[in-house]
Amino acid sequence: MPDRLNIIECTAVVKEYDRGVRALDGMTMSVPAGSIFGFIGLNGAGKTTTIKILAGQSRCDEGDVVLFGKPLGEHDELIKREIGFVLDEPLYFEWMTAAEYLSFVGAMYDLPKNETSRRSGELIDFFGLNEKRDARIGTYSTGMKKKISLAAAVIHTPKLIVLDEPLEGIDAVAASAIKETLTLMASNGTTILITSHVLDTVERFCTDIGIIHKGKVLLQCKTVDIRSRAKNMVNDHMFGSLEELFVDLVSEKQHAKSLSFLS
Amino acid sequence: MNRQITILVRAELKEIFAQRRVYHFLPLLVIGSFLMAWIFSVGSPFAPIIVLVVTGLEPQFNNIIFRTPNELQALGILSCSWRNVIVAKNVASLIHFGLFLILVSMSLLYFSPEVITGAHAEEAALYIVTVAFPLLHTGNTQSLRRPRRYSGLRLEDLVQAVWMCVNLALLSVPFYVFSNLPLPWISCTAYGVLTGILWYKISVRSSSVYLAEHFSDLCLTD
Repeated sequence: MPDRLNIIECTAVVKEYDRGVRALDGMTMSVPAGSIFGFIGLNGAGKTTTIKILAGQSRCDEGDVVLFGKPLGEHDELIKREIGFVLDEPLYFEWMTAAEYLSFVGAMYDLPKNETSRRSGELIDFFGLNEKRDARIGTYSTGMKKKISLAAAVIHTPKLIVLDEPLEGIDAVAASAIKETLTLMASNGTTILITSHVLDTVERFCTDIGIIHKGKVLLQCKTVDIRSRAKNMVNDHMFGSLEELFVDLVSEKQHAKSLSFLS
Repeated sequence: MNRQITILVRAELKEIFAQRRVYHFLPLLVIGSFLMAWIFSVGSPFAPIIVLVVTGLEPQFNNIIFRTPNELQALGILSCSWRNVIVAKNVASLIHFGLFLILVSMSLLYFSPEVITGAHAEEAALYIVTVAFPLLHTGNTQSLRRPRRYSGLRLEDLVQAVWMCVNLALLSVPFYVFSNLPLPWISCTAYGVLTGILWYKISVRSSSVYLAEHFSDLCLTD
């Protein structure tokens, strides 16, 4: 029986790609309700694969994934009603304008027409897309595309938001506004799963942290507990920051080697 | 029709005019102007027009889940029912078919040496009634079994267009049987209604179930 306090429960999840590459190798993690869960790892650690499995775009070979207490794949349509996704490759219809796309997304989530137009107007304004509201999304910059994906992910006020590198390619002002919005949503009970390479941001912004390496979650805890938990885990060494801990956990001394031409 | 289907149909109807695919009709119109110069022993002057429209709209029938490369994944993260998606896409394909049939007819009938009569139009209408839903069904099957992430003017697309024409020829057999029976408009209409019911009860249902079950595999389409 899954813990009711966890919105996402992954247990011993294995995902193997062609040629025997194991993207997830018994990955186990749980995302508590109402948390802002920072999911961090090196490139190729398994973050995006995990998120693709949550989005149904990839299937795990072994293990269990439970969302809102229901196994993944069951009642998909109803469960997706409660989730907003921003994937690494933003997904939208390039030929639509921002206003058209948000209206389309609102309708897919059965939002009333008036409410959809009110929310889409506010979101376009909030993300600073007013100037290009009538331009096709295909003509937007990478950052603007990310913003429209984010807008689409929150328009229906989901209970869970899954974001893969949402702040990548977004300007500092918008990033700050997004973080404030996500914090506000979390305080209202929305659970947020976010992957990021910017550890400093994760440490300051997330309430919980999971570190994934080579398809396994090495550490999962509350951000406030990270230093004490890490102290026990890694040779009783006290770490000054998440970055120090992260590097120690996942680097495997690969940086100990020096480049001959620089020494 | 529920709101989700209405919005999806509206988006589908608009999509084709935002894509380069619509320009595929230009070379087809040139070919069509030559084809219209013949008097066809089988079918009416509308026969080449129907073939051209079906060829031009091939991705609308045979590649419904990848009209644009990320479309499937984009729909997959939203809370839409696959059944609604299939119905909306099929309904939009029929509307496109009717619209382009009118537009292409207006452009090409001028080149026909035959005098176009009401009987020709009636025959064409009855023919369309008999092939429309079978075309949607074969298109749904093809879209899910042989999806293409990109549709354009590649060899694969040309092969699919030829396949579509062969398929159309096979699906025309019932019409030629019915047209040689007394009161063909009754038999053709009854056949059209029957295929419509089968399309909704069997094709839409099985396609949406297949799509739900194989979504992650279909996302890997090249």
